[in-house]
Amino acid sequence: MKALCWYGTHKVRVDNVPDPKIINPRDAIVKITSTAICGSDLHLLDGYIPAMEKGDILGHEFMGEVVEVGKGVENLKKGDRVVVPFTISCGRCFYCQREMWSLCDNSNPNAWLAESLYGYSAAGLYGYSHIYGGYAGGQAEYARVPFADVGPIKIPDGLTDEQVLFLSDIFPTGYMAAENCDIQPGDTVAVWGCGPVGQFAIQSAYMLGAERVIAIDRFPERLRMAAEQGKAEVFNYEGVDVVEVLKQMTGGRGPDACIDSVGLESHGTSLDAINDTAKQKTRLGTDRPHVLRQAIQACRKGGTVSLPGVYGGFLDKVPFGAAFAKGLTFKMGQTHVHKYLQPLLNRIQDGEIDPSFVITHTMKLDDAPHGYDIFKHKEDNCIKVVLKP
Amino acid sequence: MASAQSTIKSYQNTYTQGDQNVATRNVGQAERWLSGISGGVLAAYGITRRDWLGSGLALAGSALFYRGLSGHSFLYQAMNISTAEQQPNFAPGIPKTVSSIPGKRGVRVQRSMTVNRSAEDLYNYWYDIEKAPLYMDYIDSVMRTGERTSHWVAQGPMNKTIEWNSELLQVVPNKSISWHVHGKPTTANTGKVSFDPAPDGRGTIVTLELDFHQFQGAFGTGIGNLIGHIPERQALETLRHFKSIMEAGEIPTIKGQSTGEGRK
Repeated sequence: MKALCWYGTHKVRVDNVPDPKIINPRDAIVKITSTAICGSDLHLLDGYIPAMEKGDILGHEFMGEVVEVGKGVENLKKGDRVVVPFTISCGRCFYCQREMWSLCDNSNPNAWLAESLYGYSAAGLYGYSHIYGGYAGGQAEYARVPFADVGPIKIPDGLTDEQVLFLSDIFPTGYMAAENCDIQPGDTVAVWGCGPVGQFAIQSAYMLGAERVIAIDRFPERLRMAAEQGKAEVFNYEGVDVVEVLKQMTGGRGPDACIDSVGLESHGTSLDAINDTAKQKTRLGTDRPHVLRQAIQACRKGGTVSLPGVYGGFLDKVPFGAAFAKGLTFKMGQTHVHKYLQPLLNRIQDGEIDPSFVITHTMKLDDAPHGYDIFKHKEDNCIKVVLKP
Repeated sequence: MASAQSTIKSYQNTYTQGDQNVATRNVGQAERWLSGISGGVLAAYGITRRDWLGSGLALAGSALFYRGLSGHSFLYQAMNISTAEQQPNFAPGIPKTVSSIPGKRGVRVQRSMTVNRSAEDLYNYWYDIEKAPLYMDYIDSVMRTGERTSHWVAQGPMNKTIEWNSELLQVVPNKSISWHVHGKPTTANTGKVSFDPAPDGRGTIVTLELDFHQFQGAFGTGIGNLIGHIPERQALETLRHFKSIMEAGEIPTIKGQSTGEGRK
């Protein structure tokens, strides 16, 4: 089959690889009909996530048709149309049973490696480095889906791939980011980054009762989408004091919650952002937490900083004193996708939201490297790329 | 075998006489700072390398960092060295790392993992010892040979098949199982697994205690400890696989999955 493989920093290409097969009893094989490139895939492309190996198949947002099931899978059959959550979860451990699916104890074959870096291991993920299990991803014609009896959600007829594909990651991720803000009536939520996750965070914040959502980015097309589709108040952070702007926009109090949907490759024009970039390039630092610093500084006293953006290593000069002094709450982590699949599918079916609004490009799987390229460089107003195998 | 038998008898007497534990400080202050800082730098560098060598460096760095943080060196412990002032630790529940093997010529490892099943289920599965190869991937086969005995087969170094017999020492239904080995196994010489209910119905704490014979003398033990904490890895991965089978019904793996070219 064809698959998009990683061969090093800034090196990805579509290769012919062996078709996947059932390995464990609870596996299924899915023939992929639609898959997408995620902003977090760019962290892999740019080489910021450790423990990648040459030949790793990328992609963790995918859906398709079940073509084979293992003998431990009874709820799915050949021909079922499913969306696959990007977190791999057993459904039976302490964490899964408490709806903390992305912290599953039993889905990471390299748990020892994750433990050596992070103390404990979280769930395995598709196509997201060997710290997260080294599972082959879904930017391919077929994918092996472990624990298929608890992961994939069946999609009813009448919904297009484009409407439901993002249940695999970015819609639940944006939604959980907003849910983590514990939004109260009258709340103002500030969202850094108007990429796909930011767009879903904006809309989810309104769904969960936010009074105002303020969105921050620098690309006009992204700000426009946030304003037109998301009904957010928007501003470009370039050349302005973001913390001061937010303070003035919120009557001097600050946003009640701040969402960092940017993560470890944040861009900035201030001194600390330039310093981060220099350290990352010279390997003196791993992550660029420029947005996180701003979010901590801008958040109102007693507010919440919610982090759907991915961080991978050690963060420098994070103003923890400010966080402490203001009594902030931090919520973060990979999304507990399984928990959100049915409720969010219901919202799509009810017409409350049509997630396909984020798609700007659709192309063949063969063109995936080009897709990565324009997505990374924000060329051609690229916000979200969907690939068709 | 006769000598092994008598040695095992003497273990029983020394079983509880551990005098060192993980929390014991045996590294001096200046050395702790040195370990901590150099370990931190090494770990950070390892992580940024983003390859397997980097992972190794990160691992080694983390170990050094931990040594600095905790003031405990496993190597020093194995060599019976302490550069720290005496500071006994009476905290309960801290595992003894001294083995039952006399003259400190062995190593005891103890690891615990909480499994989301009842003590009874876990005990029953473990007691059915012929299933051991399912969660001990370093064992090829186990055959029950009697009420209390079983025959074990594993691959040794240079693809040599190694066989030994194991005998149950004490069995407390739904609570614990202990055993010892006649011969030279590729694994521990004596072991004990116990199943203790976790509070509030949060599953069962499975504790695996393994005593390994090692090279004679403290130096040999130190080297053994340096190359990857092998006994610790074995205890931990055995527990992890056991947990996965009991909870998820299978052990997660990527062996045999599709990959692009260039993979070893």
